[in-house]
Amino acid sequence: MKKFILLLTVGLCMAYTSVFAWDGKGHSTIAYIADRHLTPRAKANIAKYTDHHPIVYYASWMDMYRQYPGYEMTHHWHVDYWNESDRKDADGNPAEPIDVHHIKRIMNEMSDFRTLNDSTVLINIKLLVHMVGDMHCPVHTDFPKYRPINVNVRGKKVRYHKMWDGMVVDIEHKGMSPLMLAAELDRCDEAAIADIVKGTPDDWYAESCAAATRAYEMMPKKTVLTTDNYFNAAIEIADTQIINAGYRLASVLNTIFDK
Amino acid sequence: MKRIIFSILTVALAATCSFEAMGWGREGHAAIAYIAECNLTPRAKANIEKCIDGHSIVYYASWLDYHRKEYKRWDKRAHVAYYDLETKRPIGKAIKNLHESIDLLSDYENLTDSVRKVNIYFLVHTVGDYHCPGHVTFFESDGTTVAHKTSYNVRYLNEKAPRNYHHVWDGDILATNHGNWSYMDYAYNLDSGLTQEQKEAMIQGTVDDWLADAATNSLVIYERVPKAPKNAELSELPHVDRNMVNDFGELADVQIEKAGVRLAKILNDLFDK
Amino acid sequence: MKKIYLLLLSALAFAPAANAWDGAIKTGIAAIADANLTSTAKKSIDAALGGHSITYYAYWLDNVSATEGYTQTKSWHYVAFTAKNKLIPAKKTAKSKVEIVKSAQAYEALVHAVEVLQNRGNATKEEIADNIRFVVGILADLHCPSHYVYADLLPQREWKYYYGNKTYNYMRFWEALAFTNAFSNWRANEFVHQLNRKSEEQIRLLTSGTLTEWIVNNADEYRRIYTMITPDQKFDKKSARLWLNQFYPLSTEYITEAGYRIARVLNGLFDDNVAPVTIK
Repeated sequence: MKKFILLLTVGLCMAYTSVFAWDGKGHSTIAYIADRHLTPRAKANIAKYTDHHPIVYYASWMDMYRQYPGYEMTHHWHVDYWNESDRKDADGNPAEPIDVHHIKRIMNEMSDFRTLNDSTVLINIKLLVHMVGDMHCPVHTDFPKYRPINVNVRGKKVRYHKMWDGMVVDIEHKGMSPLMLAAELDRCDEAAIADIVKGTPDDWYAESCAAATRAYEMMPKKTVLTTDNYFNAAIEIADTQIINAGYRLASVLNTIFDK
Repeated sequence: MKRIIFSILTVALAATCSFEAMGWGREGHAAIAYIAECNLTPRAKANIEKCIDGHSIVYYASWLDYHRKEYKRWDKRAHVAYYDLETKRPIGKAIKNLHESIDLLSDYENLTDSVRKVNIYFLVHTVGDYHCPGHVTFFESDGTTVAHKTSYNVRYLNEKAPRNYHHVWDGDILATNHGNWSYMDYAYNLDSGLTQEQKEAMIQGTVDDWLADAATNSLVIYERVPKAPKNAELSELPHVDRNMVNDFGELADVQIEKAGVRLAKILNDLFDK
Repeated sequence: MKKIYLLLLSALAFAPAANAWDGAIKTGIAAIADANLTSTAKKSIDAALGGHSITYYAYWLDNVSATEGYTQTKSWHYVAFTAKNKLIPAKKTAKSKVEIVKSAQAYEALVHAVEVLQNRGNATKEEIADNIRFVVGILADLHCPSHYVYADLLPQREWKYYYGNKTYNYMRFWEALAFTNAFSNWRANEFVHQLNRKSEEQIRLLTSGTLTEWIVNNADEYRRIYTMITPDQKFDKKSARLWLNQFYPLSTEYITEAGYRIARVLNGLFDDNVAPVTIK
């Protein structure tokens, strides 16, 4: 039993240290889509804090700086399912999902962004650009049947988590740079975008959980699966989540900065 | 089993990577050339492309790396800039070659096709090389004693084998930080938001001033990663960890922006007429 | 242990991958094609593909081959030719005992896809979308030299070459090394930026002739790859670089041709103002 717990712990730690939702490509694509939908005023206000870089430049900043001195606390902000003890608040009630909690906290803090110092605003931009993406990645949400299982992707044994972090998008959109992929996916009309961005981060999170459950339940009920069939269906979920994340990120940033 | 996996990885790497490692790697050089192209005047762009068979300068961004065997004049040393720590000026063959090419191309209409082309390829590539921190060698005041160069091993991230520090700067930093970017992504993220004032600040002074600036900015890579004894064990080697890769990544981005904008300035001066 | 190692090594290095054009090249070809569609053709095609461009589906044919309902597409990646450069029809290749010849049925699949699209009034939405994607995938494959199987050059498909102490398969080189090495930093947009530069007259020349002529001419042209190496050739760093340099201009031409020709076929099918491409 001790051995089992040890193995489980090692396994979980391995899963945890590799949690780079969407990998670089997905995160950049989300940020590009958002960038295409920032209002001119929001864009200009954001540019005051990002030197000359577009928000895409910071799409993976949270992954790169999760262990950087001073930012260690952000290490845990990428996922919503991790630590059981964190899932209850001080009164023993269910706690908010971690990254949703921080997204809401930052949105609140930034509601009057001009009163904050420049570095705080910049850090908050970097966090939002990444966390809104993370929240839409199926393996970064809390869903009931999540297990740290292995799957077989074209002969290679990988974590289900890792497959969703990058491989689905990388394999299915081979040869597309994030810039190109964003242009390809950003095809919704205004009414459709309005529909996607309505609601709150809590609603978006609930939708992401449903997508995560769908993605999981699509798998054959084996720990090892042949994934070609799976990938063809999975990419539809991935694309939808990326599109939703992109429009919602733009909406969050426009709400904050278009004033 | 580990050995098998390692062997497979080695084969896969050999099969998919280029045969040689070069300054900035293909990605960085293409990014610099494309940033330069975005900053060319329409007339300069049209004139240059007429000289290089209708191709973009990006097409030839790594030409010098891949044809160094045929063009011995531009051997290995031409890819590395020398810098005198005492006089704080660039010295040696690289800067001499750069000036030669600029002088030649100032009358490009009267050059033969092949001379024109090769000198354009040379500029497009080496302006990038000389902005790569791993491609600056620092000399003591005597002009012959090397103070710093990247020909030593380091421990890179969590790797279990030593890695050449030059190689780290030749592509690893960019690959680690921006592995998913194509050269258009680089231009979008590094150049599209630069203001005219920021660009003008980058191109102030002479070509020698720019190389001096690039060299000065590069000194930090030796301060943070000092050379270890030649036969040092892996554990004794300086560790280029994730945090350092982040900092060096920011330095690399700035150098790429500057190289692109400065290359455009050189080419506009030569071809916008 | 040694046996496992060898098996794994062979699987990796020598597998006769059906996926022509590794890396981003097929996306690049599709993007060049997309950039050369007339606005009328592009509008109809994007609508038929559910709002996506053909670039989005560049690797679709490779990705669906293991999917239920599409397993027949596994044989749609190669064409076979006689020593006199005559196309060997699928009904004959299907009877071959040589696996690679047996699967050389791409020509018929391409012709069928074009015919379905010519008569698309009788086709379902799904059939139209699938056949657009077939045209894009198959024509891209048929501009990759290793996807031409020559009855008189079968042993040459097994040619190996050596670099350092490693062994490589020459066919695999054509599918991956020559191209991904040369274009490793290009994605779809970059291929368009670099290669979509032909004049109207050059495009007209590249896309003149019939669909069958393109493939027969390609078969003739691509034989040259067997003159660019000797069996078991050994390379060091210097000779490898000199050798690789000769492929760069050649491969850019093949890729560019593929892009313009896909556009030519689709424009002929989806824009009434463009004459359809003749099949034979």
